[in-house]
Amino acid sequence: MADAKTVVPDDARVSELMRTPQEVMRLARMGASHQTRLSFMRAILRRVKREGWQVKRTVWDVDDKGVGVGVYEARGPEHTYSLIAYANDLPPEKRSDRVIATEWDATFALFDGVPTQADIDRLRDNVPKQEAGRCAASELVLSRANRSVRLFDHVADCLSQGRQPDVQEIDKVGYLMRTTAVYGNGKFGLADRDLYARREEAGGPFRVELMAVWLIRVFTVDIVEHMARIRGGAKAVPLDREIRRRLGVGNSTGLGMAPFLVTHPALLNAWITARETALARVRALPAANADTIRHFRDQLDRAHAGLERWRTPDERQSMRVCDLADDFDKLKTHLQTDALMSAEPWNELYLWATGNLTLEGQEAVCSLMIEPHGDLVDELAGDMAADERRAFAIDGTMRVEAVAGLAARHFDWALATDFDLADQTARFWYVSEEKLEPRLGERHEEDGAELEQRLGIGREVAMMMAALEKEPKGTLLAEFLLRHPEHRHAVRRVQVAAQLPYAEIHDNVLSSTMMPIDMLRCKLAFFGASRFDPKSDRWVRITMYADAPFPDEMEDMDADDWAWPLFNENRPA
Amino acid sequence: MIVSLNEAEGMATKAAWGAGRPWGLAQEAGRAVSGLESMRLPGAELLLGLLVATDGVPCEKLGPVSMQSECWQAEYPLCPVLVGAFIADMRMQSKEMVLGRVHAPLLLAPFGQTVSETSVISWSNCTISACDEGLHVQGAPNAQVAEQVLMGPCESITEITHHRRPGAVDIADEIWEALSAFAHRTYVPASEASRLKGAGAGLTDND
Repeated sequence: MADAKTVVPDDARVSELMRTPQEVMRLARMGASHQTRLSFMRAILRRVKREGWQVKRTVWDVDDKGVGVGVYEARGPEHTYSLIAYANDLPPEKRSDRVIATEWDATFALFDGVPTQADIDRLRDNVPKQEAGRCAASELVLSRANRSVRLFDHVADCLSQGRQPDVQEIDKVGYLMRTTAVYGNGKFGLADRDLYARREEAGGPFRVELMAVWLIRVFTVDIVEHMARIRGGAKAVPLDREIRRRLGVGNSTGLGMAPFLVTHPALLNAWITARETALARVRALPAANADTIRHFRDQLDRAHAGLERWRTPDERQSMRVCDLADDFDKLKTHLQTDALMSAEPWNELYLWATGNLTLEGQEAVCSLMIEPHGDLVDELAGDMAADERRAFAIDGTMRVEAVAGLAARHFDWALATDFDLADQTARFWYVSEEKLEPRLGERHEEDGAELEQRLGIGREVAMMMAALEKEPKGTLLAEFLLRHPEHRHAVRRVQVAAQLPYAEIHDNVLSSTMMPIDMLRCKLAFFGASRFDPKSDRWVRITMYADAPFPDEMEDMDADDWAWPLFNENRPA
Repeated sequence: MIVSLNEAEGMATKAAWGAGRPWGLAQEAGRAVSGLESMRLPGAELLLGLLVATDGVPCEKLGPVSMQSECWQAEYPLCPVLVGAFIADMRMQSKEMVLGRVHAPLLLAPFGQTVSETSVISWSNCTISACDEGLHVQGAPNAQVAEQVLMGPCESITEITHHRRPGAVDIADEIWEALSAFAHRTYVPASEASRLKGAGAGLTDND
């Protein structure tokens, strides 16, 4: 890391090395995203450590059936946030990850400050109902989780009998509970983001949501230990810390999350810009020093060994994990040559990766290259928030031909698509009447396409272009839009894309070959998720905070050395 | 119903879309409503009135018959969202606009806030000065229809009577429900097949 302090890359060179939107914003590459130093969970834990946050459990009122409430206070330098957890005794037949579920093993609210008993009582009537209840502006996050029955019972049984659970079993699942929704930003009466966006610790994207998840992780262990004590009495033991740390919080995410990247162009641009800037800065470094190289090689070894724990029954992803293992082998062989000794060694390595590795491998190498350069890139994590309202205004003083020019430049991929082909419009996105959640339909087989959500930006821009071509040159855009408000959305996106290069996915999300999990994975990688385990083309399970320190370990542990954890079994001989 | 501004915006957007406004314009309606509600002005109520009065009317009948005429007129009272968006798109320039009959003219105010430093909107018994931080309202702003509205830039604002304030707002249940009914038109009824296929969860989500 020393070189980052002493050698600052040249700005012009960094600009030259930025990957283009045409390269980065393709779904296939987005669907191969990995966490990086800039991922939100990592940025949160770095702050918690740096600022010396104190976390303590202040309430634990849970009965012998596992029903009750726990409160966890996280106290930072300016504000305190409290996770209120309601534990439930859920009949197995009611356990479902789908959004149509009405009861869960546990439900949570992240409270702004320290709740009174009256707050806890008020929320007890609402939080367990999730979407059917109401929160208030004093609550920032609403969430729920279900047990992994298999692992939860195994761990509870073992602990109740005074022994530790089997590490193999722990790694097979990776979590005791998985969240099935983590809501924020004003949903169901929660606080609007504007109310806390100016706070240092809460203004970054998904900071409060993922702070809640980190505290939920503590609850999942507390409740399993509680059940073990109920079952085993004095025989019961707490979970060993090394084993405990292997556990994350699972998450089960379906289509509901997929449209987010399309509906938040400014935010998507901010995330990708930060990551691409980090990568370009590293590639622009004129030399690599011995410490950095050692750090990189060490993380590569850990990442390689860690693939053992990335298990998925999904055929496509499991092949990709195998390919990634091959890629890591190739990379290690390549590193035995005099790689990293040339001028701009990281750029050379990047170029080698693009010519020799799969997309999974290329994106993993990007993440690994960024890893030893915290001094150079960590500040970028502070630039990843964006206010969509700033990208909302339309400049109507532009002439229509200028707008057409922008569209031709920034939506070339869309204008080259033949939307008359059935395959290119095979899908339509809609909101279901039943749960008000996004769904994906087959346009040529199902009803409802007339109510499709406006997510097919490429097609909208193509339709706008056809209309613009009929306008006389010199027509003011505002006049065109007054007569044709149906093109307002497309015009807005074209003007946004001209200012924010990474705002748009450069693929047709209506196509028969589109995989929604590619969008999910990109978003979840920015969160800092790992071990993507697709359950279909539109549903994915992940693990959050696996191997990260627990709050009671933050003081003594590195807060940011867990993305590729070091275990005894992969410690070099 | 106590709702967050984000909920108010989402509901207004969906309701406007459900009432037939194109998506990009519906987004403007949502933005205008949350803007007014953030200043504790009745944006949701006025939008509802507008949507009820113009339900099923195509957009071209809600915009000016001729953009060249001194005073803009439409077959129906002008839609404040359609016209407001035009004024915002044009950044107001320096010209004063004269508008004939306008539905819910208070809905023009959020667009006036986005244009130049300060702007002024007036009709029979109401004058509103607008700047980014808030509005100065003189008179009764809740007209469902105004016969003639003037809108143009102004020098400065002496006093803000309605500041933008983040935080939850109270929208009457019957207004919220009526907007929900418009929003409901945008949802697709589920079949069991689409439930499984559309969400893609399959049956084995439990272990």
